Amino acid sequence: MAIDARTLLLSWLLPGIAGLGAGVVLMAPKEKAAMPKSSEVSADRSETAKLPDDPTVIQLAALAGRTGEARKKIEALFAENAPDEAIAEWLAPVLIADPAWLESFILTVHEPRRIDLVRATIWKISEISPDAAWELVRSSPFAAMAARTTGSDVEREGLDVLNGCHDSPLAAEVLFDPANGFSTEEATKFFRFGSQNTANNKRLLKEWFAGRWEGEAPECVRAAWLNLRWLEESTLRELEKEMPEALETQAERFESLGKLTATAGMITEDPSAEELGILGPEELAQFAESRTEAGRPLPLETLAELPPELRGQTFDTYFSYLYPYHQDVAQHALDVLDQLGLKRSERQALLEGAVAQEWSFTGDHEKALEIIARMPDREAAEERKGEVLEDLVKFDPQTGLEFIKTMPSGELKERMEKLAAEGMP
Amino acid sequence: MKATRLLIPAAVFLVALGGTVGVLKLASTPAPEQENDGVAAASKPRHREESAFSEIRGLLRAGDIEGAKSALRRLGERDPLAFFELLAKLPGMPGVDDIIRESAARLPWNTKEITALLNRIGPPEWRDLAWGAYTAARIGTVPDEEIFDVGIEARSHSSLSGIRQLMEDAAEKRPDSFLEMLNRKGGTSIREDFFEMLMKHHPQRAAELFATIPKGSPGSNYDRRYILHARARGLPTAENLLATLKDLGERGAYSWDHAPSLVFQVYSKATPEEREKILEAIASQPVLARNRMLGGVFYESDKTVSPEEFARVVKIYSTPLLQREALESWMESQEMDPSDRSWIHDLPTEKLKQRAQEILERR
Repeated sequence: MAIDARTLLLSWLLPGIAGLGAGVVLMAPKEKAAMPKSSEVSADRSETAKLPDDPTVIQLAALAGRTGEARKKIEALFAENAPDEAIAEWLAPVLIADPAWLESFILTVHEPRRIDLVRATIWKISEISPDAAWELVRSSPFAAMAARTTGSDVEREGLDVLNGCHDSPLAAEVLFDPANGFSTEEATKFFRFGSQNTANNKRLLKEWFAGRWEGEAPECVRAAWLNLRWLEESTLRELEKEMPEALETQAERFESLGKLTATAGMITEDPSAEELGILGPEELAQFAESRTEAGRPLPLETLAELPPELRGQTFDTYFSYLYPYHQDVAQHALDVLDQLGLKRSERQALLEGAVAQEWSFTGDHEKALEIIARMPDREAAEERKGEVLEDLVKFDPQTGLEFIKTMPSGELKERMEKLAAEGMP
Repeated sequence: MKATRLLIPAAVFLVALGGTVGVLKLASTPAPEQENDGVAAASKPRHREESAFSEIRGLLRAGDIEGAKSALRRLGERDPLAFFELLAKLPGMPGVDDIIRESAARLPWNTKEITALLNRIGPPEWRDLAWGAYTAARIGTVPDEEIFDVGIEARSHSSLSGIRQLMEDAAEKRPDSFLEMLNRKGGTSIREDFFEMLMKHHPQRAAELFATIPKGSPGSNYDRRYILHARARGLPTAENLLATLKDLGERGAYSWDHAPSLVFQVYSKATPEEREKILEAIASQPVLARNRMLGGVFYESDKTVSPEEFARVVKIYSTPLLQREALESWMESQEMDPSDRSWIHDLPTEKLKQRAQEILERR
């Protein structure tokens, strides 16, 4: 059959188009009729109606996905040269609803302003929804870049802008996802105080197992271990099974610290030197301080049994908190500290701590000067003596003068006499 | 041939019609179900309250806050858990405090999921409100310790939102057993807050309860210091100052770490009559203690010490050097009119009057 143009038009195209058109016409009213007359539909209809010019209404509409009005506000704020914080207030709800929009929006912002504006917005979002702050960082490469860049607000360096967001379950997931471009150092620093969220602690430990940190594990790993042990011990035990053998020694240390410190409740016994020996210097110092705070300081005799490189850091703060409630313990430590075979610098550190407490707390200059007289570092001792006498002469010149009389003549005596004369009525 | 000629266009028409209807139907049927939450909702399993969520979101998009609030209230009554899940995504929703309080009290008690849910609420005011209502609803029906253990998990617990109402109630009605529990558990700063509350209800029992804090209670030495502060400011009198100093031992008044801070705590809150008595109490101390303690009068209240008052305070310093230093730092903190020199006559010594004149000359 020969098909000419006219036949084609009449037999095929025209009826075809007519059928198509009729179908559309037929379906259109049917579609409407098929929709239930629920509130959803009525809401849907008025969703196109104009919103009142009320910031709360517009921001909530933005959070619920209608961002047009909020975007107009943002434009207006730019036009009137508003500060970053004011714009961030409006960017926050829009970006919570539509985080990916930042990528196109930011291109319309004057370049030198971009980082500061986005950081102000991340901060704003972190205050209202920590999860949303991480969603933004994950959805927008520019937000991730801004989060790690210190802007002109040097108080809030790099990732500190997400400081309210440690406990969001997304934190570790976003920071350790290579797609987001954060370095190990950045993540390590961010989690230095740990997280109270199980998902983050699990991820930190998994990263450690996978070899992210070589050698000594950083603070964030220890914090993750201890937090998880505290929050959900069963999860830690399960996870532990994946741990490479090479990390066992370090993990044992975390466990010891956990066992020693996590005994929430009254402290009734002192650990042995063997038990303490498994801790690292940092952990021991931290543990020793918690014992002093609790009024059960580790006996100096036990600390002296530990190797110097381990015990060294505990001596600076040994006497803190012993006054006024444990002066007997302080006195005992003073009585024995010369007989324990401690190094010269260690005795010096202990005596420095003791004299600071004694003079500041009891104001007993005779006792303070007795302690100073025992210091192995004579130069430091002279300096301390001068400081205590100066305080004494200034605050109690009469007593000071009486003491000065007993001193051998010299520069210190002259200086004190002069000061005392100024103080006497 | 003619029949065929007519048949072909008719058949084409019908096929085109059927095809169009079919395609449109296919395209339109799933649409109403997945409309509001788009792609994300379609790919995830739907929430049991998805229709309520999209209804509320729809109302907000239409600017109908009152309507959204009513729908939220119904959701909170029906499914408090879902209510908080949605609320976490609607920061700034006005007028929902009551709904938060009521819904929180209805949440299932003591599960890890609820703790996590409440801690995900972004705005701190809402989080505190929800935690407060959630735990307070159990006071008297669940043991204190259980409520405490749940409430202490509240995020940013420095605001104590999960345990504050429990502590207030216990401070009034059962301070001994509650303090015993706090001592046993240990930890820092909560005991300070507890004594703050105790001072409102039973100030006369503060010293006695303070003495029950045992050796070996974690954080106790740290806490004692701040408990004394709370005790001092809770009852800003000279008598109470002396009582707190007494609990620092026999040389407590000498303590540079403690005594001036305690003076500050009471003096800054005391009435004029009590201020006089506090100054008398300080003046009766041995010289070193007296001079150390006086610093506390000026800690932060330099600005609030009037010229007449300053003249009385500065007299208590036992030495001209300390008097001069006090004058200099006090004058530094005042916004005084250099032409008004009448107050200078009240200063206790000639040396001070002269120094004050000199400083004013230089201005």
